[in-house]
Amino acid sequence: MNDDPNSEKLRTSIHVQAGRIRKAEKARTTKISRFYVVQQELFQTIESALADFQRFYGVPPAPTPNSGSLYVLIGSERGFCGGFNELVQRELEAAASKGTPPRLIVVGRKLALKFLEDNRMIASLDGPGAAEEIPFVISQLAKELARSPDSRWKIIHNSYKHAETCVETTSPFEFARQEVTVPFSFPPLINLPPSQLRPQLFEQYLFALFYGVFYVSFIAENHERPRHMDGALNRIGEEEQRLGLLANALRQESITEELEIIMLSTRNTIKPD
Amino acid sequence: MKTFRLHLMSMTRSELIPDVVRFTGHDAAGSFGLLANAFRRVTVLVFGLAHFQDAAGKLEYLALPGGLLYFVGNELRITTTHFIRSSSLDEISAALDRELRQEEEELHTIKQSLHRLDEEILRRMFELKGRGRHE
Repeated sequence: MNDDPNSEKLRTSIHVQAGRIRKAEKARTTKISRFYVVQQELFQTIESALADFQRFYGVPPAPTPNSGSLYVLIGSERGFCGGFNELVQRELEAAASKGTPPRLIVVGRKLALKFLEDNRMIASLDGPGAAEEIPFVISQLAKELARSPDSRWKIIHNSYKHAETCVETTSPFEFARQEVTVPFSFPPLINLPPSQLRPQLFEQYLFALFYGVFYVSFIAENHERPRHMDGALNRIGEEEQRLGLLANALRQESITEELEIIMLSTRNTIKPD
Repeated sequence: MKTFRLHLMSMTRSELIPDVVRFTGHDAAGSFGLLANAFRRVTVLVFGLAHFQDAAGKLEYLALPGGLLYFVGNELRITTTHFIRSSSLDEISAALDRELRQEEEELHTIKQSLHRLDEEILRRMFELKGRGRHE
């Protein structure tokens, strides 16, 4: 098998394709990482402004407990990324093992496939295939969340930390209810009544948070894909090697058999005088 | 002339204008202005145009789909999903068209290339798997 020119051609072609994918994923990761740095700066500004506002104008009232909880699960839109979606699924099962079954909004086609038969899923959305699609996905998700009667929800998503993909649960409503210390003695000026400004500020906070969550998930996905692909290519290489060895052994066996037949026939032909 | 810093932040870029003399924006309560050393202020800007003037007297327009405004420490921070800056209103409209078209084209190209790469690698893998089975 190793000597087969067609197999060699195919192998080279796969490696060329893998190289292209790796290059494309790297370009996407570089771009999204740049966006993420800017988004973090923006998010810190929103957090400071919200903390400043809440310190003087009060935190929002606690949400009324309702029958269940809602989880937004963010997985991958495309395949070839190993256990990326399983991480999210496992985190959900661990978080939701007690109490009323949660309702689920699943983002990412590959993750949604895992919940096809699951009646906890109330909606599924296509995830971003490119960084440029993130704003559209966020607006679709915002529409779904606005339709849901749940007053509190959490997001389960992957992120990339210390060269590892790890799963995280983000609870936006917990930060919103925290009283944060700010270095000011007087309240900031506001043009609107606090009750009117608070939801607007919170909306800005949520949108920025969603961008951050989608950026980190996308970065993790783009790191995971080349890694998974390299693993698959290694497995193909190993399998190829194993088949090569098997082919050699079979060839040797057949040569031995042929030799035995030749020797037997020679013994029969050359009779002793 | 007293100035303040204007820090514009969107989800993809960040720009700093060091010497702004005055800023005019709109929130749900109406139009308001800001000068250097103004008191701390928090508000949410509505969809539309804001404008600011630098120390050289140059007036610039800022188109944005809403966003947060936080004036603190003589720095005006504006966070939004997207913004366009221009010194002329006609240019803003043209830039908006251009950017939208460009984004759409880029997205189309990216989607096509992703699709092609995924399909190609899958095809090759199946091909190799098929060959392995035959041999």
